[in-house]
Amino acid sequence: MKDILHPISLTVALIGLACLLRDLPARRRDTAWAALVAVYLLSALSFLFSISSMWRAIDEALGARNLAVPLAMSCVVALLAGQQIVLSYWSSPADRARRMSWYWLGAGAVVVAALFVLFFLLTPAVQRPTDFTLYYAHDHVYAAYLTVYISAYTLAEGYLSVASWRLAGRSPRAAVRVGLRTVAVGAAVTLGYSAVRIGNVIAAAMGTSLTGWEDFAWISGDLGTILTLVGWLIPTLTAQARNTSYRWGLRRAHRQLHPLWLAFYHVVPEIALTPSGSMADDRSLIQGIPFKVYRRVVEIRDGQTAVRPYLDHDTRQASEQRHRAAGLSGDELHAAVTADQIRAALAAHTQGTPPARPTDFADQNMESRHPIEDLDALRAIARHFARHDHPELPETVRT
Amino acid sequence: MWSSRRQQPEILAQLKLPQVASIRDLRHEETRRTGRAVHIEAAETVLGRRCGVCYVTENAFYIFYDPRTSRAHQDHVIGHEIAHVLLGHHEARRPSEAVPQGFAPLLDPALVEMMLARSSYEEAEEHDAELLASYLYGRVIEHRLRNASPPGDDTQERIAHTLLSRREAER
Repeated sequence: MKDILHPISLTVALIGLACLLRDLPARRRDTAWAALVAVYLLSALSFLFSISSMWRAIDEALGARNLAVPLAMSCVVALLAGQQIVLSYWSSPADRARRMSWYWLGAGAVVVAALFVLFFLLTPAVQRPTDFTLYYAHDHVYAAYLTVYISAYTLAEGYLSVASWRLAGRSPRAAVRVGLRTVAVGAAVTLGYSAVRIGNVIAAAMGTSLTGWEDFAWISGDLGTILTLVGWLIPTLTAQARNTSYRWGLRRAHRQLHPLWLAFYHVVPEIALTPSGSMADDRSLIQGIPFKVYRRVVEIRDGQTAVRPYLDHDTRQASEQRHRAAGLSGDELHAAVTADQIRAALAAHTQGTPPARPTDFADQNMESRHPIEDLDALRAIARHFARHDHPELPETVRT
Repeated sequence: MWSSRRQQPEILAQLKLPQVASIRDLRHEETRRTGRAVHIEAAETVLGRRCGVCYVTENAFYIFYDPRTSRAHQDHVIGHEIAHVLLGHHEARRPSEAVPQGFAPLLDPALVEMMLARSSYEEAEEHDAELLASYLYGRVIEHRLRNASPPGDDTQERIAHTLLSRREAER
């Protein structure tokens, strides 16, 4: 079971580490983030050392049997200290968190030192990569070793679970709440591993064994750790998904607005701004889709202003009657009428024939205070504009 | 619509403008820098094709915008006129065009020293003012996006700082 689960857990830890390291240039002085990176790195190392093939390779390389045990468990103890450092930086001001971090690092170092001392007192001569605890649980030195390790593990994971759940309840951000609760549940699940290992010590003292619980121990330990590692990442993964969706929406909007913009550009080409010169120094900004969409919205609005003197009252009235009869109302009606008005005004502008009875755009009745709302209003107009231009086509994106 | 990014064009870094929730709030910074009051008024009277104009007097700037266009577009037009002043275009002392009577009593045509409009982008000043207005509005949208998340206490802000990737937070 261990050799099935550990590679999966190792993969999750490495993916999480890669996600975090993308921020490295911006996070050089961020201790909480550095501690979180250490948690993923140490977690990955602990799983790596515990995989049977690596276990044997370490034995051969270092010339000591079962050295993977204290190495892997030291990594776990260190990552437990890292988790506590993260919690300290969250719950306390930086100065206090820094002092607490030294405490946690010191406590972790003491536990690691104790583990190595006890391990070398144990001197386990038989290589047991798959059932080390079951094999050595009856040895008093290993019982002491396991008691030290599992005490630190249980206290740290228990505290992580409670603290994460409490912090989640206070967060105003949904993704952070979900992430921290996942961490809390994951830490609680790892206590199943603790329970079995405590049971191993007690069972050995009573002259029996918990052989049948070994799979449960590994499933609890690995599943809990995976949940914890995923939980820390949920806020960033959520933000990334939202950002991707947002930018995809902007690209779609840019394409949707193109026919409308192009119609104005053909008649009033001076609406277009071509960024150049020293002020256009940030090419990534100017060539980015948000800037392009923003400019497209401004230029369409400029185009509307340019053809406003050619808006004909009768055209608007006829359009309103037709679209009302088709069942349109509210903003959809205003958008459809505005599209008709734009089409007629562009033609009148080209012919130079101002109307006898001028009027204004129907989209003045559309509420669009925020730029996003303005974009939505123009997308609705652009949809009706494109539909009329290509009545034989379904309403699809055209560029 | 805009991307929330920390990186910004050099001109914005040079101008060192305060973060504002609305582009109209930049009028206070403009007053602080020039010592002149800034009046922003809606006026449908002959504003030209680009629906905005700024009249410069000895003591004030009068920015007029067309209220018939969308609020977001109005803000952009106002941003363009503010950009002219931020870029120092009002210091060129060009002769003003005739001031339409429609702006009375908001503005006495006799006091006008100069007019800054929003016309052809082939003119360098218009191009630069329009580009800066686009940048300025980008900052405003960025500010709104950044403040869209409900604020938490110090602990919650620290948690969000750690768990939200800087890359995603700054986009």
